[in-house]
Amino acid sequence: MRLAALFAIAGLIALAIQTTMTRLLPFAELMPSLTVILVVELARHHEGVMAVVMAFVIGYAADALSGTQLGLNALIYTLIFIGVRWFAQRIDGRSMTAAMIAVFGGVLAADLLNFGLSSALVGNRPRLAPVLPLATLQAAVTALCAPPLFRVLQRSARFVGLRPRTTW
Amino acid sequence: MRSTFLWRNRVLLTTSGLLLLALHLLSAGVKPDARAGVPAHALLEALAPGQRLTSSLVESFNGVLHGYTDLVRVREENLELRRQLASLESERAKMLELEAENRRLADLLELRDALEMKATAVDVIGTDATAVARTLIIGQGSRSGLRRGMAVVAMEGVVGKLIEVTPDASRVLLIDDHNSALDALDQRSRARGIIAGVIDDGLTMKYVDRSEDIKPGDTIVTSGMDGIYPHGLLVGEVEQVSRDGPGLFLNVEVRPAVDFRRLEQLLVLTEKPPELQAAEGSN
Repeated sequence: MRLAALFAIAGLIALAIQTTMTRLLPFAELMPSLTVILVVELARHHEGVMAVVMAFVIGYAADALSGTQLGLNALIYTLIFIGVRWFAQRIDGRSMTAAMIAVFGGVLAADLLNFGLSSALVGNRPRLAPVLPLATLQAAVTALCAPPLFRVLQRSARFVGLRPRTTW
Repeated sequence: MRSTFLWRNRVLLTTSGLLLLALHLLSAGVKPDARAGVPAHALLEALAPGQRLTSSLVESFNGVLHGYTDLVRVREENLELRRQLASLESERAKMLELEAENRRLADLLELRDALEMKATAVDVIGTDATAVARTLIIGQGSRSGLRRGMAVVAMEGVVGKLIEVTPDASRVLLIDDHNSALDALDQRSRARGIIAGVIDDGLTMKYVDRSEDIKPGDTIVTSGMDGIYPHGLLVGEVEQVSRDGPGLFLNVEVRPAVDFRRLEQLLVLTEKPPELQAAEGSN
């Protein structure tokens, strides 16, 4: 329950920032995807049913404030959770470099899947080529912003009595 | 209990269940207004006050940032003068902001009078949660008479349409979203096509016959045939026309008339275009 409360609050703050701060930036792609950082943190350091449920809930909350198809981000964030969990089990879970790579891959996958699936669902042919540079830029910005946010999330988790997993 | 199959595989089963739920929401084409969208609806409504607050904080921060930039320029002069100037600049920035807001609202009023349709002025309080989709969140909803499907315009031209409405907040699908579609025509040649967004911040006019006479610099306006936007609203200007490649249609790139990143106040048309009302009346 503490995990759910912590990530629900973090998710709401992340979404509030993502939907309002973008106007300060010259390009929307320069806004780091804070919600993907939350999902990567859930997959790397938290176990059990609640962790995957929270990944789904954060995706569903992003759906409420994005695009036209309900369930799209819920699906993508659950897939990112599975992908990062698979990745973390095969590499050093404590390494910040690995975490940054996971964030980079997560944002890239989220943007490409979001564009590709949402286009396909309305019958448009998805042209991923123009999306790729923009998605890569956002993935790089998010990966660079991730380490301090991971630290804040891990400290907050310890503060509420959770013990984030540090090894796999 | 802990040794049962269900308990041992609870994470796997939950993950599979959630994936199936997400796929069901997607494949069933559940709209945000449907029963499954009630939590999303509630979330949009619940987040609106926070977004209003964050949005006003962001604007204040922007003001402070601009004030600071001005101060740096003045720093070369003497301290006393700078202090006085800073105070004057702060007052001036506030007045300029008020004047700009007044001007925008006056423009919107003028536009409403020109359109001869009922309309409501709304404030932008947020943008899309992802970088891929193009939507805006506005701080007014059904309590202000807004309904799903209503057209949203700015002084410069068409902005989009409402796709989700809660009592105090709504979401606007911008015309530069890759899933948006708007029936439009070339003002000069009367060639018709469908305007859709492309990911790198522009518009494309699809399904324009290769034989049509359409040139760079032509003005693109709404056709009024989609039942959402009134006829003759400015969409943009043709930037490039290409006949490359096979196929039946031209590749037409359109530069939007509206700068979608600088929108603050908008107008929602709360009644249908007169031509559509007339058509519905005759039916």
